[in-house]
Amino acid sequence: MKRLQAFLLITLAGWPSSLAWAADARSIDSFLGRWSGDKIQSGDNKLAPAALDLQIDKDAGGFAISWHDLGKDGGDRVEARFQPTDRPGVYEVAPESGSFLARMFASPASGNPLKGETLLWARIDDPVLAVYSMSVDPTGGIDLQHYTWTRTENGLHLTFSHRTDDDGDESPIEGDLVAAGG
Amino acid sequence: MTAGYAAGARPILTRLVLTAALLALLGHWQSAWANDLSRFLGTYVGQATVEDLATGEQQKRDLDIVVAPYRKHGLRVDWITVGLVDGRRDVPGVKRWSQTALFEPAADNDFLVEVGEIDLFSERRETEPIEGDPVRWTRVDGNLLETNSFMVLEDGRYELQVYQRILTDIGMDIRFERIVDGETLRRVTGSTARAE
Repeated sequence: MKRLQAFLLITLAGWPSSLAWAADARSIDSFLGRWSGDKIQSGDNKLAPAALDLQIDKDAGGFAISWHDLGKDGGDRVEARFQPTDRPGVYEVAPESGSFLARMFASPASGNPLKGETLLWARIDDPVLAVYSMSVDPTGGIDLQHYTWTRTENGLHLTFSHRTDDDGDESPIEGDLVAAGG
Repeated sequence: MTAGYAAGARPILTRLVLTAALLALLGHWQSAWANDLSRFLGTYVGQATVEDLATGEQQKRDLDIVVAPYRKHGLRVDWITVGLVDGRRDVPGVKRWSQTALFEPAADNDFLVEVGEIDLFSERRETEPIEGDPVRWTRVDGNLLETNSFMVLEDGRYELQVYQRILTDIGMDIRFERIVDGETLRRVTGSTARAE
């Protein structure tokens, strides 16, 4: 009987934490903060590690994220605010992000790429945070960007891939980020 | 008065000429677009190899493709695929898929978007890709007719299907890829001849 009690105690004690873990798998919490690019492992060697700098903050039920557009040589700074959708772990860009994204996208929205809008969304499935943008140019050419930040022991590992009709699938950029504090 | 009328008539005449030129150019663009597509029209038969990149499994398929005009400037593609059993289609286990896609030119853009059959009783709804609605379009680039189908999956990953039909001297080559979140899961390569 004591064994059964001990078993129940351990099981019940473990239960809330496993529930919390399930909830955390879709939460931005473990990605919050400032992250500095530490090293770039592959790519065309044009980029400095600072191009990987990243900042993620809580924002009204969702999160705000600031990163560099690795799809362009200039690596312009991009900011976006994401809000939850009906789908667990899937976030759409908040409509008021428009002004921040004006430099990067012609018409930023979680919209319809066939109407000239950029479809921008994010996915969290711990240890992965992914941000995607997809647009179609006036000739029907696709531009698909896919950022994946995976939590590691030392920080984050980034994989960036970019698909266009001109180049097909470019070789991905990979690199590591460490917590910058602050 | 007469001089004034003549001076006023000239700009009107200029406008008329410019409008006529613009209409002529637009007509030329429309016919050029239609001609672009007309090169792809026809019936094609051939074979393809389907490769499952996760398992390495390969299968042979028979192809039967019809590319036809649809409405004023659109395109209708019907294709029948037969899954062969040891290279044969007259044995048990053979499979057959029949599909149709309709495309019409996109407003203000140089590509076509997929449209459904017109149903007067259905309620029109805006496409919402973030909710999982597929985004499908077709573009033409020289000898290439490429259909893309893009979808945000339930878990936030994406699926992209790229179907390329490339004109050759005898018919059309086929290239297909199914990509999920950056990983190519399935590849189809094939060739067809234009049927007489």
